[in-house]
Amino acid sequence: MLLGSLYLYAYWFFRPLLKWFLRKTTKLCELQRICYGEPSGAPRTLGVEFSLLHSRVQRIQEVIKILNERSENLDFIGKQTKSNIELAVISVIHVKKIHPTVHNQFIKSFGRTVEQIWGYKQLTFEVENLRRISYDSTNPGHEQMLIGLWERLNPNIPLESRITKQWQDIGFQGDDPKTDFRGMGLLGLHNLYYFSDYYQRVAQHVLLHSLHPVNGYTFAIVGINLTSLAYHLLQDGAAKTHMFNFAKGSPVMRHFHQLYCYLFCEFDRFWFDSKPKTIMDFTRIRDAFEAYIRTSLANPQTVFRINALVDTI
Amino acid sequence: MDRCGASFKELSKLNSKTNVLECRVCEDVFSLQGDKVPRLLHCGHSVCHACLMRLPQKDSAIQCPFDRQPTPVGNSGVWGLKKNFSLLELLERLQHASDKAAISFFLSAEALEMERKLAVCCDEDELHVAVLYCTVCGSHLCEACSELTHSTRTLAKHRRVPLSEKPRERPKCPSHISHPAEFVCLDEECQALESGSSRLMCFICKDYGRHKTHKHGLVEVEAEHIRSSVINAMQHVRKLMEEMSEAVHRIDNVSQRLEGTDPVSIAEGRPGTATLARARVQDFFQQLRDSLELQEAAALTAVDTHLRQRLCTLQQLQTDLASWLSQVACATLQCEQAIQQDDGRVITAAREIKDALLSIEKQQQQLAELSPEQLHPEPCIPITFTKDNRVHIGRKIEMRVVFLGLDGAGKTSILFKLKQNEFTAEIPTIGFNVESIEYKNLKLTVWDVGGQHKLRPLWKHYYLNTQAVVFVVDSSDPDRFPEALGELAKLISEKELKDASLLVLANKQDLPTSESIERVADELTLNKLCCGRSWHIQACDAQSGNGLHEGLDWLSRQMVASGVFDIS
Repeated sequence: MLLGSLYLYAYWFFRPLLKWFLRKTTKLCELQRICYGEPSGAPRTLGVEFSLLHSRVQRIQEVIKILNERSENLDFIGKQTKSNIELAVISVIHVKKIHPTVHNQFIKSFGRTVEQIWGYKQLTFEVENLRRISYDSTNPGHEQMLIGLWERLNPNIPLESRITKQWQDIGFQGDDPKTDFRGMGLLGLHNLYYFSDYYQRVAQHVLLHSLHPVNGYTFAIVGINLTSLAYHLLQDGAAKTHMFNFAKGSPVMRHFHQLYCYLFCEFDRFWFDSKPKTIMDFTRIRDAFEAYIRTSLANPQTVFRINALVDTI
Repeated sequence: MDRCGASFKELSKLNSKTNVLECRVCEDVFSLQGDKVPRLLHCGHSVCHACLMRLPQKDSAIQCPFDRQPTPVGNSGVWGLKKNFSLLELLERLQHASDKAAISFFLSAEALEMERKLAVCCDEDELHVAVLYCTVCGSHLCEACSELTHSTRTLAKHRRVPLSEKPRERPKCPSHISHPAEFVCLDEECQALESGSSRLMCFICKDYGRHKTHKHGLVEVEAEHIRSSVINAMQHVRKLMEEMSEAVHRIDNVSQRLEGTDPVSIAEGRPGTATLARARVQDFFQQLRDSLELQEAAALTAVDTHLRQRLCTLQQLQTDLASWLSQVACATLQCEQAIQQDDGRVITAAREIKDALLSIEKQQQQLAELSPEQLHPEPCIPITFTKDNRVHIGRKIEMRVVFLGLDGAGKTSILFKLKQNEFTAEIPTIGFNVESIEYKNLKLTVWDVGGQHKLRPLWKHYYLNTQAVVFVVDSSDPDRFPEALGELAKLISEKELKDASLLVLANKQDLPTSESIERVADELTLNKLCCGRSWHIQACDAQSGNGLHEGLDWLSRQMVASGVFDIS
């Protein structure tokens, strides 16, 4: 403990000295060293992010502030993205006096990391916005999506009415699912819908699992709980490893949905491996599952891919 | 009373002789005048005037009811027939004799006292009290004056009766004093007049006077009417009196039973109900005192045990510290002695010194390992009394609480509002959350169990040893009140929860659509449902946290004995 904190203190004290020394010996700035040294994906992007956030150069701090604002306004779309990246690249080249033609490779890879970093930031805002929209039963769009969810999960069984006990068959709490979306808002519905739409057969399969008479769980509200887990992983940055490894460019909503789908499939497997006695074990298993996911994400190589084998079991 | 009754019996015995002389038609005794005067028929039979009046007249003659011989009557009718004077004389004699006997009886009897009670003055001497009435002179007399005034032979025949048997005076007409009032006016106007005497009239008044056109009746008949009505009323009154006396008797009985002085109770040796009640009260309080004493003893034992343990650990610590101190002192001394010596010895002793220093370091470590409470113990013994008079030693009383309610009522939100004082819109709880919340001198272990349909049958696993149930209701969703009521009713009937306090939290009061707690309490029929258990309904909203602490205050009052609420 003591040693650790001492080491950290020393590191922060000597970091500028270390950087200066490496700069002098390698003739490369820290960002260049990261971009050349680390493999693409999470290791490189996380390194660049760390370096940028701890930069003491005023120009760079200003650029970070501007980019933060732009990502908050969801400006990282299409052409906007390009100009945003250029702003960052030009500033860094200027500050660090990097020769653009010599270090063409650096410019390319640095640009990509910038795109990923602020794309991720933008995604957190997008997700947050979606979460804040509460389910509105008078909004036809919301209603349509809810009905669509049913149709995808149970294509052969028609829904009797909008408010019916049938909702409990797919694991909602009551006769009207709208109350179950309270904490996660539309995000929960979008997640569930994406899962049942994009991975329809997998979702149906998981639903079938969840209906196990003894060890089963309630599909929809477990889904909402998993939305909450995915949301928190995203918000506190734990999901960065996966996102930066998974998305080629800027992480977008689709990537978040896919993370969610992965979590759902994985949770299903984890649940049955834990051999729960009743649904009351959910909190314990959920916590264990979260710990397991977080340990996986602590490894910068981690990338979650949905095991396609599930489909054929 | 008894004496009176006896005297009347004797009187009637005396009268039995006169009773022989009675009309054989109506079997009433003949009298010297009036309706019952005996009149002689030609055949020699005597019949009373009243019966003769009733006999039919045939060719102005009446037939004897005994032998059917006709007796002609003149224009004056029955009045024209002769009275049977010999019979009358006999009657008078007999009566006289009986009167004498009566008087002599009265003279000698204590019943004189009775007469004196009437308090009528003797007409001869106002100082005397009259006991007799002379029917002939019409005067009230005492015994002495009676003898004195009626000593002459003629006067001695005067019939004197006890004052109480004084014959009724025939009323006089108020307008014509010389005439007896024979009639009573029945006119409403006259009846309305206050003085009753103005209704009396003689035949003059009747035919010519002021009551000329008025309806009238006979005095006797009217008086009889009044008498009979009085008698009727008296019968009534008798019944009433009987009832009253019965009631009095009953009351008397009851009061006797209360005091235990009634014969049945005395015979059976049973104490009065008051004594029984008193005994029960004493018994109850005696039990209370006994159990209090037991509880006090248990509490004292708990304190003693606690004290012994504390002292024991303190002593242990003390001995440990003392031994460490001596070890350190010893090592120090050793070191100091070692370094005093010359260099060669110091070097040879280096190993020993190192060991000694090591041991000192070890002691230091051990000292550092002690917790601050061990190093700075406090002399206080914090005590709280629980509601069942047990003593709780320690800073906090622990309490096990279960949060229940329908899905979406806000159980988890309330829990986290209490725990972290921040409001988050929660996701549906699957399974349960458990948190411990410290509030004032309570340490609540809260089990928040999900409210979805499938979980409700599993609620019962959380009932054991639960001291309080917090039932959360979404007051903005009246459509689900019946469902909540159903779940609450199930809870109430659970055996394991029969001693648990019930706190109903009417949540979401911040929403404009929420119902008042009165309405919620009504809808959940709390008054009926929770009859005989400690319950409380509290309005709250998890968003601002309003009402939550009031609810916890109520819960803590259910645990802690009143009056010792906050530990000092």
